[in-house]
Amino acid sequence: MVTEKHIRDLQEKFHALLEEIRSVIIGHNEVIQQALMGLLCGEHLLLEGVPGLGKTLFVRTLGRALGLKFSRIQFTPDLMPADIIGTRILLEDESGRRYFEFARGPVFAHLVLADEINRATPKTQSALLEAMQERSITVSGETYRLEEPFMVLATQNPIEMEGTYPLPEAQIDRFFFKILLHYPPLDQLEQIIERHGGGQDVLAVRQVLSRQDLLEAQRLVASWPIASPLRRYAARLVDATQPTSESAPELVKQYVEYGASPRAALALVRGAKAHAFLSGALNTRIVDIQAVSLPSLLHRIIRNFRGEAEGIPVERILRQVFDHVQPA
Amino acid sequence: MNSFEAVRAQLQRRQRFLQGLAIASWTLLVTLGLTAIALLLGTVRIMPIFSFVWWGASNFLIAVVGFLWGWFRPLNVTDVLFRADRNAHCEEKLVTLHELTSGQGPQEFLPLLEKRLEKISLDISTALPIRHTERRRWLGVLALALLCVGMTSFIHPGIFIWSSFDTDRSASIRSPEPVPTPLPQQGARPAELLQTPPTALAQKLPALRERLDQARAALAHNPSDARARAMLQQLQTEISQDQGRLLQVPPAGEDQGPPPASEKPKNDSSLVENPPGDSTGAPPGDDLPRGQSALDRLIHSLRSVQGQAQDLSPEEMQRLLEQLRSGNPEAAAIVQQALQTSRNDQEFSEKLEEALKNLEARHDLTQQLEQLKREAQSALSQADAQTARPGEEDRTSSPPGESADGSLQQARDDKSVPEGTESVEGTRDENAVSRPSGGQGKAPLDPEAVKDLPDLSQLRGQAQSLSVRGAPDENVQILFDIISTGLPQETDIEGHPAAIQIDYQKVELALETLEIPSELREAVRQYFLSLAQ
Repeated sequence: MVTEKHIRDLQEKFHALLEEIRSVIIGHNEVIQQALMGLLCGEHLLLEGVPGLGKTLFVRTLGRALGLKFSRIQFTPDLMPADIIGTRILLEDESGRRYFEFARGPVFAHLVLADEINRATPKTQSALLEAMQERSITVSGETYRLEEPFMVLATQNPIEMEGTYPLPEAQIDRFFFKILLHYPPLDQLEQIIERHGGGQDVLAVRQVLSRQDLLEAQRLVASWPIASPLRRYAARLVDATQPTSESAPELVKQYVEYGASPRAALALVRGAKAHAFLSGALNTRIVDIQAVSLPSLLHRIIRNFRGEAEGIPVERILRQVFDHVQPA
Repeated sequence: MNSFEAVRAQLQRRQRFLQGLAIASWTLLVTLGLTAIALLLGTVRIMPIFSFVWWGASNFLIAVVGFLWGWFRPLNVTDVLFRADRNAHCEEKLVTLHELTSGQGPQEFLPLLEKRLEKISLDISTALPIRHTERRRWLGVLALALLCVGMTSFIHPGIFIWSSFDTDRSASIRSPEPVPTPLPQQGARPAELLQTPPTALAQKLPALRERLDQARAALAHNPSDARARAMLQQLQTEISQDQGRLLQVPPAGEDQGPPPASEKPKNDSSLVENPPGDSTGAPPGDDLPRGQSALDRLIHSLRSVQGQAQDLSPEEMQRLLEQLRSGNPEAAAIVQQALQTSRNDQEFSEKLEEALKNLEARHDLTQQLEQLKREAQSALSQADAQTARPGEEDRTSSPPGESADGSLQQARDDKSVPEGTESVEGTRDENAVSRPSGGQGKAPLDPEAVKDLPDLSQLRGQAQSLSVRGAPDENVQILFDIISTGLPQETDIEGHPAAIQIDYQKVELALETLEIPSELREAVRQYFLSLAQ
C-alpha cells in the first residue's frame, strides 16, 4: 500500500541526491534533473556537448551518490564490440584442462558511461545499443541478463566535429532523453574553478540513495496516475511533429522528414510522471509534460534536406509545435 | 458524499448552466436577428409587423427552451473537470480524481489525492467562468434586443398593445415625430365628435317641434303675444345650446383666446366674411357656423381618405396623412387614431366608416336643430313684420340683397315645402343664398318684396353643376353647384340683380382638400369672390 509518507520519503531522498550531485556539479540543474528523471524511468540518456563540460564527472558523481556499480567506456574508432560486452577467453585449470570462460565487459554495471559514443564505429555502437534495448547480452548462444537498474549515459560530441560517426536514427531513438550541455556562464565558471581548482574529486560524494530505494521509486513512478486528457495531450504533441499530420505546424511541414515515434510518446508520458514525482505532486500535470517534452522529442525529429540545408534548429521546430498544440 | 464528489456535482451543475446560457444566447442572437430583419421588412410592408409583446414573448420562450436544451445536454465530465482544473489551477487533480473514482489508474493514489484536494479552496465560478466570447455574445443579444425594441417603438408607438400581430399599414406609415395636436383648444374634440350623438337630443326633437308649433299658432292668432315670443326666443337659445353640444363648440362667453394661425385658413369665413351677427341670429355668435363648417370639412376629408386609402401604398398613405395633417389636423388625428388601433386595412376602413357614421348622424341632428331654429326665427320675423307693417311702405329703400335675408327666404320657401319635411339640402341652399346678401342684422320684412322675389323651388330646377379641373395629370375635379336665378321674369320689377347662389362651404372645402395646383388656387378663389360680388 502506497502511503503519502512513503512517497514523501522517496521524494526527499531524491532531493538529497539532487543536492549531493549539485555539490559537485556546478550549474546544469536542468541536466541533473533530467538525468534523475531518466534514472527514475530506468531509461538511457544521451548527453551532447563539447568536451570538458563535466559530462563524465556528472555520471561518476551520480553513480557514487547512488551507490551503484559504475563503469566507463571511452569510445574510440578502434573500439570493438567485445570491448563493451565482454568476450570468451581461454583458461586452463590446475589439471591442465583448457576451457572458455565469458569475461564480462564494462556494460555489466548499473551505470554505464559511454563516453563519446559517436567516436566508435556503428558496429560497436550497435553492440551497446542492443544491450540497452534488450537489457541482456548474448554471447556464443549464451544470454547474460544485465542487472537492474541498468542505465547508459552516453555522451557525444556535436556531430559536425571531426572523427565522429553519427548514431543511426533507429538507435538514437532508443535514448530516453537527449540532454544538451552548454558552456557554463561566467559566474558558474568561477565557481567551478574555485571548487575544483584544488583537485576536489567525486570521492567526497556520499551515497544518499540505495539500489532498493531506486527500484522502489522506479516502480512507483511507473504507476504514477495520469489522466486521459494528459495522455491525449502527449499524443497530440507527438502527432504534431509528423509532417503528414493535419495538426502539424508550418515548420514541421516544411523542414521535418520524420517526426517522433510512438516511443517518443511513451517517453513523454513516463518522463512527465518522473517529473511529477520529483516535483512533489501526486498526479501527473500538464506542466510535467511540458517540462519533458523538449528533451524527449529533441533527438527524435529528423529534418529533411531543406531543413538541414537551411540550418533550421530542431529546437525551434519543437517550440513551434509546443505553441501550436495546446491542452484540450 | 465526500468533498470531491460535492465539487464534481457543483461543477456539473455549473457546466449545465453555462451550456444553457450558451445555447440561449445563440438562440437569442438568431431569433433577435430574425426579428430585427422582420421588423425592418415590416417597415416596408414586405412582412407583417410583430408587436412588442409577441416577439418579446416568442424570443423569451425560445431562449428558455434553448437554455433547457443546453442544461439537459449530456456532459463530458472529464473535459469539464479538465477545464476546471486548468482555470482554477488545481494541477489536474480533479480530472485525475475523477478517473481514479471511475476505476481507472492506480487506486492507491485516490485517498492521497482526495486529501490534497480538501486543502484546496475551489471557487466554482473561477473554475468554470463565463467566457469573454459568451459575454460578448450576450452583449450582442442585448444590443439586438434594444434594436428591436427601438424599431418597434419607432414604427409602432403602441408597442405595449397586446395583439398577436399587426398587419395593417399603420405601422409602416407612422410618423417618427409625435403627431401635433390639431387644435390646442379642441384637444378632445375629435374623440368626442366620433362618439354617437346623444340619443336624448334626438328624442328631444319632437318636443321642440311641438313647442315651436304652439308658439307659432299663438303668434298667428296674436302677433304681439309676448309669451309666444319669449317661448320662441327660449327655444332658439335652447337649440343653439344643443347644437353647441353636438358640435363640441364651447359655449358663448367661454372665449379661449385667439385661434392659432393654423386654424385661420380653415375658417370658412376666409372666402366670404361672416357678418358679426349671423342673419339667423344664433346666440353663440360665430362658433356654431364654424363648428358646422368644421364638421362638414371633417366628414368630407374622412370620406376622401376612405376613398383613397384602399389603393394607396404606405408611402402614399404617409403623404396623404401629412397633407391631411397640414390641411385638416382634426381629420388627420382621427385617421391616425384609426390607424393605430387597427390591425389591418379592413379594420381601419371599418373604423373610419363608423367614425363617419357618427359624424354624419351628428351632422344630420345639427341640421334638424338648425331647421327648427330657423323656423322659430321666421315665426318671430313674421310676427314683427305684421306688427310693424303700417310704418314700412318703402320697399325699394334698401338694396334687394340686404332685404332678402334668411327669414325672408324661409318665408318664401315655406310656401313650397311642407313644414318639417324640408330636406337638409334645401336648408343648405337657403343658407347659401343668405350669405352674399350680408345678413346685416334683422331687416324688417317687406311683404311686397317677398311677393316679388323669385320662388326658390323654381330656381332649383335651374341649378347647374360645374367642374373645374385640377392638375392636368391628376384627374382631379372640383365639383360645386351654382344656382342662378337668372334674369327676373317680370321686367317691371326693379332692383333685382342676378343673384348667384353658391355653396361657399363646398367651394372652400374643395379648395382645401382637393389637390388644386397652388398657382390656380388663388385664381379659383378670386373667381368665386367675383361671383359673390
